Amino acid sequence: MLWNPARCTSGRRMPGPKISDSNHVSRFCGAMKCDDAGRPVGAAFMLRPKESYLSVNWLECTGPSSRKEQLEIVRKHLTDKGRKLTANGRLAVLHLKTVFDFIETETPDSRRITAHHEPELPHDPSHSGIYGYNAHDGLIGDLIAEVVHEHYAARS
Amino acid sequence: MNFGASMSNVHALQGYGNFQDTRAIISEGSTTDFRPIDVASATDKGGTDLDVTRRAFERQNWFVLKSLQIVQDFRPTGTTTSDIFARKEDEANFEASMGDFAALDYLRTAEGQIEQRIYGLRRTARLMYRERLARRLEFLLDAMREEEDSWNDGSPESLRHMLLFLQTVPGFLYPTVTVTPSATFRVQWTPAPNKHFAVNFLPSGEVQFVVFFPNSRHRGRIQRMSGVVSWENLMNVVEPCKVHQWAANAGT
Repeated sequence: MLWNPARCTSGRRMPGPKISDSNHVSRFCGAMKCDDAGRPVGAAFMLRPKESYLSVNWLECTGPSSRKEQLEIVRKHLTDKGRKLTANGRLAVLHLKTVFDFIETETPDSRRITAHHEPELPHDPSHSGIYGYNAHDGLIGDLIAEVVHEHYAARS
Repeated sequence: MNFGASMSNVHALQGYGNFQDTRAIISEGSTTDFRPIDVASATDKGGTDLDVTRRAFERQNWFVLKSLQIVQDFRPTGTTTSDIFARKEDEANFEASMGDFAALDYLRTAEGQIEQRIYGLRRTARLMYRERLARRLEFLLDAMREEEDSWNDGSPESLRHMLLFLQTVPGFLYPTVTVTPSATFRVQWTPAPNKHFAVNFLPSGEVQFVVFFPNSRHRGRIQRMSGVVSWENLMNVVEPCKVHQWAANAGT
């Protein structure tokens, strides 16, 4: 990941530029995070203990307007940076406003989550992160899984 | 594991041990026997110088011959056809024993332990969907092999707790089983959008659970609950959500 000292305060990395709510992001979900029918479930949107955000790809950032082309570029970005797109893996597409509103409404503490652009140059310029929860928030992953907009095969 | 092969490996290893002993004896004999001949001390015992020298040479040769005899007695190989075949068999057994040690090492890995748990599930678990669950776990194991960092040392323990828990709720329907980014196993029952019960099994024996259930007082609304408890207490904690009614066979 590109290290930008200007975005550091007291040794902790600050999020990149915020992504507008009207945009979409995709999340690569391995086969073991999908149900028997291949639909991504809550496990696909949970974080590891040391992760501060959920890794996604900002679709509108890729350039093309059609979903098919956007996902093709995302697949290329992921493979370029060494990510293995498995045969049974899926790419889940999330509409940010839908996700944010749903999380705020359905969590007991009216949680506000946000998406920020976190380019991983040179291979993955569309890389972004969804901030606002951690590995202990089991509920958030399940809520995000409920509002998965579309999902596609990880391999084209 | 092939226990027959293991027993023959013991013999192979014993043979190997003897060979090592033989080498030790030869080495000992060599250092003792090939010392310089002390002609002066031999002359004192009587006889001509030539006789003394001959006796000294004979004595040294006796040690050399004795060493060779020891080698004959302990040699692991032979010149006859049967000896050669025996040697080949021992070598094969030794190779097999090395294979078994590699297998033992594998069984100590997270991957090996997960395979053992799946084997145990098929053999012993009292679950009506155990074969289907075993196939799903094998699928997940294959997927874990494909992805990097998809398991850790806690994964087998997580799976063990999951299987123990499932046996405490034998009436429940077959769940969706997944693996979290922390490499723990997670089961969920979601018969409807307002009925969702997910349990993530942590290696410590605790579970991270999430329940969505219909609000009995406000029709159409969904109540949500999440938390961390030990898996033994989970069903007591979620009892007010009436999970039994829709996750089990009878109530779906």
